[in-house]
Amino acid sequence: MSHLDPTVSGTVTAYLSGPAVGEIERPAQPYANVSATSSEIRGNAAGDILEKRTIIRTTDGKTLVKGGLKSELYEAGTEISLGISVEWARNSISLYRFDLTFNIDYWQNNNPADPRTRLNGTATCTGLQSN
Amino acid sequence: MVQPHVQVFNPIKMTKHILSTFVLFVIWQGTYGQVSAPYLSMSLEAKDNKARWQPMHKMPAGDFILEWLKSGDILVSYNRNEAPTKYLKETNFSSKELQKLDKKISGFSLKGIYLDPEQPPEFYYVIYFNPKMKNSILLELHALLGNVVSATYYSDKKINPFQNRIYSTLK
Repeated sequence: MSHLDPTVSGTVTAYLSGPAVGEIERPAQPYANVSATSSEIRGNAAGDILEKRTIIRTTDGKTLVKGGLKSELYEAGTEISLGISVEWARNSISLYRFDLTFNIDYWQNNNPADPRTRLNGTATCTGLQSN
Repeated sequence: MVQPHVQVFNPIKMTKHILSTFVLFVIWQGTYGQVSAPYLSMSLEAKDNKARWQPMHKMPAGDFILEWLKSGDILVSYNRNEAPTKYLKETNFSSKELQKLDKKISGFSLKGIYLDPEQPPEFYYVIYFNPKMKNSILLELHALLGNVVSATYYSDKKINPFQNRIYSTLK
């Protein structure tokens, strides 16, 4: 798809939402490209996000997830609430990556109101987790 | 061919039905209890990238309490100073995802998959329960299904049936 014109490129707002999402870093700018001819639209989009978290296990068996790489702050033995202290803490990094191509063909069925759409995409999450 | 449904009122059958329904109801009610565990053991990472279980030991600040709710959700409290958190039961998994989980381990069966609303959304609590040991539970935290982040066994007895279940660290 080297012939595409980059028509959309810029800041993309939150991909990940919800409580306790870790600190997020984008190793490269996400992008979306679209090109159009009289009969079809083609495009692709891709991006990746690194999420940095600290996984903490406390002496009552609970697992806590904190944003950022902070395992040094939570050394084993650090008291975090009444009678409860840190048993174990590790930094954890997850990589979310997506890659999508699409093609919308208006004349496939000789009917512009009935375009044929093809989507091809992958999304992966890889990470370093421990137990 | 569909048979027409004929219902004849029979007082003896009716009484039997009501009685058995009542008995079943009482049994069913009984299963909605709580887990109250004074002992725990955590599976912790060792240097060889495999996890080892701690010896069973006393909870540091009061029993672990888990309450089974009729909605399917659970209330969990890890110590006496902590207000219970409601973990929500999740059922929206494909059979392929569910294949990544063990259905039965050492007499314990997969009881359910739960989400803690205070945790990131891809973390699931997977719970194993044995009806013969009402105060024992294996609590695994998975990052997506199949990747175990942490595992803890809670019980009212100082024996850990999962001693030989070794989790390997994911890289």
